[in-house]
Amino acid sequence: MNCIEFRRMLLIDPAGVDAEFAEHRRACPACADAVERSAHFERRLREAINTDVPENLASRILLKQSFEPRAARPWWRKRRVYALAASLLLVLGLVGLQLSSHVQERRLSEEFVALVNGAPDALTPSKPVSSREISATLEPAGLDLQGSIGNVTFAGRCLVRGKISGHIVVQGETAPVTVFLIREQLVASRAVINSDFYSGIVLPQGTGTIAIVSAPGESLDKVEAQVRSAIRWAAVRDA
Amino acid sequence: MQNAQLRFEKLVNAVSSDLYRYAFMLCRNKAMAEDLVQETFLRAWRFLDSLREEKKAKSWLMTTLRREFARQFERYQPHFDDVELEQIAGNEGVNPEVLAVRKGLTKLQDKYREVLVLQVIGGYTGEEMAKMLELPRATVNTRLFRARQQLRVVLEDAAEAPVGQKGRRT
Repeated sequence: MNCIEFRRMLLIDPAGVDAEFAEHRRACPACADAVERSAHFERRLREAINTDVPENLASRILLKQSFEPRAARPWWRKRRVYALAASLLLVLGLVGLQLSSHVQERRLSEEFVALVNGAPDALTPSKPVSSREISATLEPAGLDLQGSIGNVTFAGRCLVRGKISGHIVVQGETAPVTVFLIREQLVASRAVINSDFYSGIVLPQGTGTIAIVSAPGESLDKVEAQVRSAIRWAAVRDA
Repeated sequence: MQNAQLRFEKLVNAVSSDLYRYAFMLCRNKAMAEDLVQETFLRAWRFLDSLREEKKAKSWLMTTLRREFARQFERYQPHFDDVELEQIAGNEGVNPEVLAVRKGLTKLQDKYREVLVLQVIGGYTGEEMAKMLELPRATVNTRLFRARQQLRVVLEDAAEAPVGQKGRRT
């Protein structure tokens, strides 16, 4: 800090002394004198500004205030209201989310059951479909078959929510098992399909969805395991 | 409610004198200064819940008073030339140098006087005043520099003037 900067600081903020300022003051007698003069000036300035305050000013302020109703704190500024609103929103959100999730699952369940009912021929026992035929059928739906998925007696395609999807029927232990393969994730986690005549599961698999529907009591685990290991989602080739 | 009343009383006792002086330096009219202070405190009472810390409360009061003054000033403009601060500020028995500085304050441009008064009364830093006045920090510094520069000349003249001429520059 040089003398010019020091004097400038003295005029801007004489009370705001920093280390650099103090160091210069120690080193420069002329500036140290300037500080003394400044201190004298500041005392006079303070006295000049400290004008007389009317007597009983504070009492008069309090008297006037005593007649003034205090504005109620706006409801939206109240912490309790905030907390309550936040809790309510959270509860409503969670309930809404659950309801929404529940409704979505039920709708999806109904859609798959409707699809099964809409293609009764697919459930009719018939000769096995070869892997090559299955691959050729599933390829336009963006599916790549990389292994066996059991005794497949039907391989076709259908529209699920506007997406061309794979539709295959595998013979289970006691009943045919219908598998829908949709190249879009429709559920975030495993969900159950339940209706009067069918039961099943819907589960996310990579970027897609697998739905498996069969008669109640039919074991779906084996089919699920085979489908999950054999199916890969391929490039998009929507019609 | 009792707690709020107590807090308000403490605030009034702690800040009303400084707030009055600030108001007086702005308008240079005792009645108007007191009205400004009263009005400002009534607002503080209405919004007391938002004024928790004393330093922030003081800044809030100063800023509110300044805005109220600006609002009233649009309707009423006192003729400062007719009013000498040194005559109305309670000058009996006051040091002649102080009187000279007081007179010098009346001659300062409003914008210079305001920052100086805020700094002396409120103890605000340049940064704090820049926020309160919504000005760049450099502008606040320049105003403080010029205000002191001009007042120090007044004080030096007062110190050098012969007896009976103190405070008057020839």
